[in-house]
Amino acid sequence: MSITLDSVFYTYAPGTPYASAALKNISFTVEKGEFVGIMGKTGCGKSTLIQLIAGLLTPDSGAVLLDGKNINDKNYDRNELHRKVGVVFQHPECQLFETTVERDVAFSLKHFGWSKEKVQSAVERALTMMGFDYEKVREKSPLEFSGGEKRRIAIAGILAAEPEVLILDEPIAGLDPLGREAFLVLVKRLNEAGMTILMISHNADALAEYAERIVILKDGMLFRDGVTREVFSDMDELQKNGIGVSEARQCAALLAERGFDVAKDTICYEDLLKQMIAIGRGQQ
Amino acid sequence: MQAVIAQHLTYSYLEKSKNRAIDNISFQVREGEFWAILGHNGCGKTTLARHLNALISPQKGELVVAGLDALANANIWKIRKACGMVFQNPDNQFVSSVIDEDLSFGLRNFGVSEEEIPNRVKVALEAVGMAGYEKRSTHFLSGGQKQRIAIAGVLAVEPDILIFDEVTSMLDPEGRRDVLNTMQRLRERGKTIIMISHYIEEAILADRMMLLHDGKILGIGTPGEILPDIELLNRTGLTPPMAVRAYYDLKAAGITLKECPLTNEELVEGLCQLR
Repeated sequence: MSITLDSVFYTYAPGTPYASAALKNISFTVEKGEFVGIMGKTGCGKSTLIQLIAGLLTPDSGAVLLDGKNINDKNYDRNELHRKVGVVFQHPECQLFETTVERDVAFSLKHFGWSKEKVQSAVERALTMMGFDYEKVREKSPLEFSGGEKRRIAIAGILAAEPEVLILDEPIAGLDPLGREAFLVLVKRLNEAGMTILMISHNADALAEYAERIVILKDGMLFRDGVTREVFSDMDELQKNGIGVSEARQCAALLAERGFDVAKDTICYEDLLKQMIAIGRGQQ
Repeated sequence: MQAVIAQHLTYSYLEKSKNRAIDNISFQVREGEFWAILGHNGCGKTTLARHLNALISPQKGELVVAGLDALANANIWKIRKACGMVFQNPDNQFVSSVIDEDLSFGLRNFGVSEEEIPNRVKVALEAVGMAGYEKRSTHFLSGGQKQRIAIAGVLAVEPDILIFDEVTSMLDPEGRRDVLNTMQRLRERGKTIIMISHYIEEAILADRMMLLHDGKILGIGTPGEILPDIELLNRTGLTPPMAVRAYYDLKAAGITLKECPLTNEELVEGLCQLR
């Protein structure tokens, strides 16, 4: 499933003194199976962007197309949109409300007209994917779990619907390092199985490691759109605009400052290490 | 003097349950120290922090906060005043949309006189670098600014001890830097700071670190003592800072730096010293 934004504009509270233009002339296409990282400072329009893609907001002008079809057309099948595009909002753990984990994860499936067996197997699959022992957790209250665990339960609720596109808004903020890593590996696996991933994050290390492409918004406009390696090469310009780059990239820049020969597109640790070993050997 | 003395603290959310949120925790924080508490989700960090702020009373063990015995009911309000807590999401901490009203709220509840309130608000806003924002709305601030206002709300009560429970995890890099700088400033003013964090890079700023795992303390020490111990970090569910990882990976490749670096700057310095 491809996603296209074509000259999209969106303003909050139009026609009032509080009117603020959140997105200005945004155009880009995400092809099926891509893993795209979306970055930008707080308030740059990232969350507005995903709400437009999910059909929760309607653009003032321009169009949002899924597989070439305008999702805001009158005849567009909204049910299909909501089934195929799964959105994990910030703090998904706050959305838990059911009495048991099983019922919570199954909630959205009720509306798809699936059989009881199909719902149960989808729930089991989603919870297992998120690292839970289905039999152990199904009857527990979702509120008994810790913050990070609750988040994984909430995400299982999205995955259970088997979406083709998964949109994640700051999914790893507040997770511990191993939880972060495990979560990213899982998302990568979903991506390799063909799911299109759009992930908003401030964590440049995570995006450097996992995303193939980076889209950066600035003041509601498209600031960068390109291959991760190339986008992060331009460290000074990004930092000047309040965008963080990966630690490996920062360290590579420090080495370059001290006169070492380091490639500008060093963004991952493995790349950096290889070059540091070469430097070390050269020095000795 | 000690800001916190904890002896054998143990707590279960379901009484009589064997599942202990914190289990036999003992430590002492000296006045003016900056501590970082690290551990994976669900390890008991927040439960411990809530004890220090008297949101939870100890079930077992002893706890003295700012010289006040936490087991004495009469001390609960005094402890909450002496030990302020800032939470993860700044938006959840505001009670008013106008900044000075928001900051006044806590003060009124603690019985501060109406004459004194404006001055307290002013001083607190200055301390977090937000002077002059009294009449502004909380809605139009950046994430870092919001969190600084939340910190000011706690500071206005004039606590000796401040607890930060993952206060940077919702912020963009600029907001994080903002809030970390604010913490450093407060420490320079003599406040005792206890920071709960997932970011091991932030713990480098601390005087001492505590690693928690399944409610138990796995290690206490300076960042220089704790962070190079990869095995200990792994057991706690943490990953070492990149510089530490590089130190060991370089060593495995036959390149030995003089000391284990904690930051990228130290790592680059170490490579230069090979010359």
